[in-house]
Amino acid sequence: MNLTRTMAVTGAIGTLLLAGCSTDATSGSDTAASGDASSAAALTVGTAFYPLQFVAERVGGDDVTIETLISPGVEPHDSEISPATVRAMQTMDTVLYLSDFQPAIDAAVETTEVRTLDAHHIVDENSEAVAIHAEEAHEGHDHAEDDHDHEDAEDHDGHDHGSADPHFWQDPTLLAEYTTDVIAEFSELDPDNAAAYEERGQELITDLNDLDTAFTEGLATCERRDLYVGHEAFGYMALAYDLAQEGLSGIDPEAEPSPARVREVRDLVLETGATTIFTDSEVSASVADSLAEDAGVEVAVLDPLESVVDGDDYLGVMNRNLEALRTGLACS
Amino acid sequence: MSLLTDPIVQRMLLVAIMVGATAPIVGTYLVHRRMALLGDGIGHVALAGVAAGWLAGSWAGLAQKDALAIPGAIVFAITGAVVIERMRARGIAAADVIMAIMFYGGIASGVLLISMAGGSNANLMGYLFGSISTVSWDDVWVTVIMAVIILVIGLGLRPALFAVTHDQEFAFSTGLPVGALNMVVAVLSAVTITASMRVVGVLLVSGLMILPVAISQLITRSFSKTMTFAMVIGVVLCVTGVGITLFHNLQPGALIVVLGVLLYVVVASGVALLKKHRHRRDSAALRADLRDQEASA
Repeated sequence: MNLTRTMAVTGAIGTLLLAGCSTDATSGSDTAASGDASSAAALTVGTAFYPLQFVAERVGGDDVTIETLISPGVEPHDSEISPATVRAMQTMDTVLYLSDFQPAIDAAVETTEVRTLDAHHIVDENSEAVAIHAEEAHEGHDHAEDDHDHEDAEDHDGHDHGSADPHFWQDPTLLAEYTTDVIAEFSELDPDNAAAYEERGQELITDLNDLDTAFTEGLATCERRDLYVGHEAFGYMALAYDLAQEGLSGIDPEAEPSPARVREVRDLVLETGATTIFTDSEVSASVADSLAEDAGVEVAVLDPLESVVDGDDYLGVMNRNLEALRTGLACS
Repeated sequence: MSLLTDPIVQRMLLVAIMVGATAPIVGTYLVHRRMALLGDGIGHVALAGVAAGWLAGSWAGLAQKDALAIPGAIVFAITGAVVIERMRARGIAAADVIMAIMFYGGIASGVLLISMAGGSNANLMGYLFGSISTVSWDDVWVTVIMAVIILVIGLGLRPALFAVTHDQEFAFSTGLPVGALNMVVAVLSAVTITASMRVVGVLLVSGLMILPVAISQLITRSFSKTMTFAMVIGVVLCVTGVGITLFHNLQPGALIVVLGVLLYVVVASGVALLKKHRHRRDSAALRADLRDQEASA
């Protein structure tokens, strides 16, 4: 066996050298792999998904180089981070992420021991209120299958550790809270530019508070307050603006809705006289479509903002969401 | 930090070499028994195990609900492999049918148990699927232990295991403990898959068990040569894949598997061309012989 082992090791070293030689020349052009893009900017910051990237860009401006760790549009648990990105993470000043949301990022953070700014405390502080609000909303829908609803609610209670709603950015004031964290983090890492971070950060907080006001006012007087969605990514929005979210499937977009749940939601839609079922752009809308057809109502897009397409930003998408909500819920 | 002195890169390469060299050992036995799809399937059975472990943990009221997730995965994977082996050995159904039943059962009960346990698919996947990009030193030690077990059992028992895999009746007649040896292969596969999918991902480990063996089979004749050459191919594929993804932002698991498939296509076409050439030469020679015979007659 000695011969084989030697062969294997020789082959390995040979290939490694080859790989090293053939790609060395191009390594400079690969931005994600090289940490040297930070020559102009003071900080290099990694971001795990879109809303965090948005905050980093707004607060950091030209003083910060932003590296996205996972390409947008990739399902969080299918994604594998490349060794190039993991290596680059070692030289990043900090990484903005949400733990327990993207397993691949959690693993990379643990491996590289990079400094991080975890948004999880915001989820911890607010997810219980979201769950309680959702429970009340379920109970509010006084229904023949009341027992079933109770059971559901208890189930949620027992396991909220595993299924806390991560989509906190659906409430602009919570994203503003995270912005405060980001200002503090950037200022600590780069005290020279602290004033600039503070100024840009406060600008963003103002924008977010304006957005919050727009939502509060825009959704103040509506004919209906029932929000029928494909997957329950809007718990924080429902809590902040007093809507009652009813989803076909739960927080997990992959779960298949049960026929019982589809029928239940259809009955609720008919009962409450809703005119619109909201579906997010990423997840297949076929169930929502067929349900809407059955109940004779419209389908509208409500973007959960886990990623955005080029040229769009958080504020733009949230304003579109607000318009869709105002139309769908007949607000004045 | 220079590339080879970076501990992260060292860990990736260590794991790449160990998995690349040892997965094909287990794979050679599986390919010979026509159970090449076992790797992918065990991943699904293990998913059910994680969900069952999670559910058991929350029933037992453990503080850490996920404490039983990994033991659950290992128990389910080994049980699955053993059941497949027993049913196959008793001739209840063909191996592929039994595997299909186990795997679809695994996915389906995984999905049901996960929703009963109140977890989401996403956080359960996190337990199961690792990536070679993010291996920790603990992962390296797990891989070392696994590699040693595979090397000792897979290579040490090779003559006996080969006899059993190749011709069971003959092996039985020579007095080998056929049932026990079959079980060794089943358990060894299950442990290899569950341990390494947590480290490098199920796609990579199941691909690495089969592709190098398939390539090696094209160009080697004997069982032991096939295995040895497959180990070399496995290491080369892994190290090349990690080497490339260190510079280009690509997913290493997927890239290594694609490299393997490309190599398979290249080798298979090469072998086919060679055979055609040889065949043409042989038949030309045959025709010439015939002509000579006719002429002389």
